[in-house]
Amino acid sequence: MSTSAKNDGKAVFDLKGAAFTILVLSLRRNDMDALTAQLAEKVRQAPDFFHHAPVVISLRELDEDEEFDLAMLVSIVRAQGFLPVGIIGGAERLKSHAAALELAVLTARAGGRQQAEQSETAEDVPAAEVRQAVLESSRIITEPVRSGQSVVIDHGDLTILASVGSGAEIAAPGSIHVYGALRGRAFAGCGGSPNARIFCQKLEAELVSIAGIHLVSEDFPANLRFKAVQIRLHGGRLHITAL
Amino acid sequence: MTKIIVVTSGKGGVGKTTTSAAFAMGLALEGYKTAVIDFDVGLRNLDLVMGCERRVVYDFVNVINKEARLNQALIRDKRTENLYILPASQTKDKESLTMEGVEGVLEELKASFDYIVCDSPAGIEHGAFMAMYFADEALVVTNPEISSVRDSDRILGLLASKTKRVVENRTPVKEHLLLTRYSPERVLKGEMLSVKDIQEILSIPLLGVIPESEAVLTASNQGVPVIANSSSEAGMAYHDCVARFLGEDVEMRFIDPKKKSIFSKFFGGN
Repeated sequence: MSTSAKNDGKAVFDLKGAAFTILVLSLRRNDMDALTAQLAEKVRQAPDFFHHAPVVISLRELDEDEEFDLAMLVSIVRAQGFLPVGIIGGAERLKSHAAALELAVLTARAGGRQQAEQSETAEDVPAAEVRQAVLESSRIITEPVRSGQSVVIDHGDLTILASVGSGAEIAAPGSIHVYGALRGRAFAGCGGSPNARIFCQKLEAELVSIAGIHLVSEDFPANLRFKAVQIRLHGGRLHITAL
Repeated sequence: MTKIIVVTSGKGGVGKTTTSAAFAMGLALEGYKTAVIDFDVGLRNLDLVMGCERRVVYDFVNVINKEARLNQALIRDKRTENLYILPASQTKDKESLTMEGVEGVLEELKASFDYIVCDSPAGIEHGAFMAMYFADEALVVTNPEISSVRDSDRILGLLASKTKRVVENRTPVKEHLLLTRYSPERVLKGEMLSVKDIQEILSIPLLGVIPESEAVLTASNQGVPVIANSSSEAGMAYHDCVARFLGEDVEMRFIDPKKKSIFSKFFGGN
């Protein structure tokens, strides 16, 4: 028996559950032409928001007996820049078809939420609602965060479209994105999420922290100072890499 | 429509009072009726820089406490028409500046003045807060030094969150960056932050750069705002700033090192 196969107690991975907010594309009827046109229009309104956005396709509202081309649907959605990751609902044969397309077959949580969605008829609610939920759970700041100011959010990611001054603090349970120089302190993964990351256009931070693990400016690699970087937590340490 | 301008910085000693005096006189010289108020209650300085310290009878706090009328406390500048000074009290402390009191004085001044320049004390406490609270525009005075830049950043944060315009949901205070004590030669040697560095950190529009100049100290000691010395570089630079503030397109001066003359090259003089 080789040493690597021995169970020496050091796990090489953690397998944990996590909940994500994700877009659900809920199909109301089988009309691929209309879908193509309407989806393109939706994406045109907010191209950055939808680019590479993972999406789950809900087939719950479709007639189970009707012939349906899942491969066609997936290619339409992909063509608009989405990343289809799974389907929810639909006839049994579609589920096996989904597996063949390497899409996950998700089961919705039983209970009120599902009931509520089904009871809604032709109103434009489900898609808009999910999109709204994504927007509400994160926050975008367009003004510079000045010295002495602190921006702390309770949900999701924090995006700053300007610089963060030295002596300023920003904190979020999710990831932090700074499209400017990060000169202050940034705390990502405040709720303890080790998957949160920090991104910035110019690293001049005083301190960065993910899920409580921190690094002060003095410990930053000199070659990455003033560079565009991302910061990740891995193996109990923060890793800074150039973008 | 009267405009209230606060001259502020966070850090002390960067040139707020010098700037307030020069800027107010500059506006008055352009024909605008201007009042300059010293908010540095307890550390009265503006009257010295304006050269009217011997004519102070009543002050800002007296007016707030209704011990004197505004007209009794305002000192008319002898050199410049349209320019008036409201001095600070030397004996009181900054808590004497009540929100209602300050607002009352500003409202009364608004009736007859075009510009009101508020000379803020250093720091971010009550006095500085009162000076900025009612402002429409702000001159953020910054030295090319990292601590001054950070303090200015702090002040910009307060201007964006703690002023009346913000509280009332009006357009925010218009911010102008004024770099003082700038020495292009030292920037070149890497001893000082450059205009570009500072603008990148603070990201607000640059109103002007005042070069380090001996004329500033001389002017303060003589009680003549440096803008009155039109042969000095600092005086010219303040003049440019006032013109830019009033909407003129004036090219930036004094931001590049002086070219050495052929003689100094040979003889090593300056």
